[in-house]
Amino acid sequence: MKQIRKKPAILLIILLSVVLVVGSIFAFVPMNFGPTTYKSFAGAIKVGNDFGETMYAEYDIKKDGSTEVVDVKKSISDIKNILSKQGHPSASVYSINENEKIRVELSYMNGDDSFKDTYTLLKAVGVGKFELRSSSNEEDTYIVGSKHVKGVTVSNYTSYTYVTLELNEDGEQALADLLNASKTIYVCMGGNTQTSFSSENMSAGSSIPLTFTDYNSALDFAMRVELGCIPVDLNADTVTINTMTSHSSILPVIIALAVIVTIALMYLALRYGIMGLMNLVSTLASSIVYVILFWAISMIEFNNSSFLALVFGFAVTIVLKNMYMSKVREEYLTGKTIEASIETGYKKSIASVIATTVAVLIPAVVLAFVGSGIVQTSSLIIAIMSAFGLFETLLFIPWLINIVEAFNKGNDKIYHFKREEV
Amino acid sequence: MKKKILLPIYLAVSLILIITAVVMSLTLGVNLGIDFNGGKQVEIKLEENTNTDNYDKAINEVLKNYGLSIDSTLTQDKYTDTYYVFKINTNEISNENATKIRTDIATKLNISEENVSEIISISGNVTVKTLVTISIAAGCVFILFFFISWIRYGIMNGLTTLFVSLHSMILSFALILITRLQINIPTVIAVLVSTLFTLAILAIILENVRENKVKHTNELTYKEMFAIANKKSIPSMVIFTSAIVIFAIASLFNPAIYIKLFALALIECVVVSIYSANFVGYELGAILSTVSAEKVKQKLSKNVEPKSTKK
Repeated sequence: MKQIRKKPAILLIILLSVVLVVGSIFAFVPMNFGPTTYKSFAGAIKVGNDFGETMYAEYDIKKDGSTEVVDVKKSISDIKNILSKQGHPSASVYSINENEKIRVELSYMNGDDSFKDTYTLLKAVGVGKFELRSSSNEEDTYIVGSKHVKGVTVSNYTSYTYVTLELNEDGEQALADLLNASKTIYVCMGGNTQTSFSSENMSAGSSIPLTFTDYNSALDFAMRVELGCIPVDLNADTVTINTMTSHSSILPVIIALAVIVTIALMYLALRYGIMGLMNLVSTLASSIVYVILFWAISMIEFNNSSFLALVFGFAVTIVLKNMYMSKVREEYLTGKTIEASIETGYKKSIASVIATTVAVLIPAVVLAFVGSGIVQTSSLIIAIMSAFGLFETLLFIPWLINIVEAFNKGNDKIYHFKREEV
Repeated sequence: MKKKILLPIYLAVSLILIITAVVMSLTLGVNLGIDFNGGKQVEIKLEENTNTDNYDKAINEVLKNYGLSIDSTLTQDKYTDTYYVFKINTNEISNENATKIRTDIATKLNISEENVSEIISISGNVTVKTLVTISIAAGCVFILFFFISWIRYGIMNGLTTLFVSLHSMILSFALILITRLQINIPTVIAVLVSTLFTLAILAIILENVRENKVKHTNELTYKEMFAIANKKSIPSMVIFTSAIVIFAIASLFNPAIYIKLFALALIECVVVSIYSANFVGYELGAILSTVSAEKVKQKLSKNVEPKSTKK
């Protein structure tokens, strides 16, 4: 790495300090501004059912619809997938009392719109059967979601959003019959007419495109149609929505994290001197980035398994940094100067650091793509942390060491490396 | 003195554990958690200002008489009432026992039996699709990693990686089955994380061997290179193990039973990972690399004709 002179080094230190202080405040410190509360990024990270505030809803399964075990299981699976797409990967969905009811448990954050959004989502789950009719009467039902709709897609074209209902073979025939029967199509959910639209410009086929001017309305409609297409018919009128609190505690996990981070930082600082202290700066910087990413990615929700992934991801970053620093130390112990040791140690550690990162990153990425729910969340956390660990070890920490060397000028005392005297 | 080959002993131990796990699963069944198997749920209506601190202990004392225990508990609101809810990890409670349990709980907690709901069944939370996708994902990971290791370290080390990662995953499940710990989604995550741990340590060992091969081409045998690499991987192994074990110990203090059982499963998985990478992986890698090197040497020596010394 190119050497930095003193003046630019001072400017970089000031800039880095400002970024770290401002970043830390916004990332970790909650603030009150009169009636408004700023939670901080860390405070706004979603916490799953294991530890957080949770809302639950119980939906009666209508007896006049299917109550077969296989249909109930498929409905549970479909609801879980839809909720996962809505940012609730660790939603709990199961049937109770011999498939009489379906229960859904979703976590929410206290003190913001999350409560209202979660309530609305739970209400939407019990939206009831999706049907297309030629009139508002039940006898004039032509298309039933669970029988005729095989998929729902949302796409944008020019300034419109299209929700396309993909129909199976029976659905195609049903659509043709519906178009022959009436020039107006009635959209019904749970037996109630929601809206109607003209079918004059529509032709029979394997899909029904519906136009929306507002993207969020389109997404909401698509979600409700998917929920209306589950095999069982949930009774929208008798749903009960209430709050619940799990009795497991987040405190042991937070304490464990604090202990692990403290021990790791102390170990590196004691063993590698100033390099270990630079690791402290790097860990703070990366923590700010992690907190922002975990807040921004909607599918990340922290429950017990996610905390395990966080601990493992942190261990990976410490291992990578230890590899780099131990290589520098090894080179110094062969008799090289500190500057030469830093340079050759860095070059020699690149292969090991990359190999270890690849060993963790690639499996984590594959699991994140193919997996779902908690598996996907945990894998994503490990993938983010190992990728960032690589960046920290090969770019950020060497850059910090370079800044230190601008003032240190090759003095090896601050590195705590002791050569054995012959 | 010829050094002892320990690989057959390690593989024999692993095989015995796996066979034991299979036999125990077939005879005693698998201890699947509520996530997979479903269970039973009871709701206790709480009067105003009821202190539920002793409820866990009291209810467990009652359930112990029937060979059962609480899996998890929560407090929920329903309309204007508050309920204490607990789940039991079993699907088999006879009607007679169900009635007795309700009565015993009401007596133990000194409340009216009307406030203790019927024992209702709940289904599992995990679908077959989830299990299938996890299995496919794990398979993809192992195959992908085999090819990456083959390209970087040669086919023998690629095979070592494939074998050791499969060994780690299978043996982790075997140990969980033998110790009758609950298998639920957090346990599956623990097994996946420990397999990543194994892959990371193996990558460190193989990268060190590769480095030593370049530095000391004819000076060290493969066994010696693997021994040096194994020793160099110890600090990384200690870092991973310490972090995971501290987390597992902290989880043991969680009031939820399923999290305590997850912590024990995690500790078992870490032990298996160290055994797989630093014992089985090290021996297997050394032997396969030596065999491969011998074959290459034999092939090369066949092509070289001995020089004639006759004048």
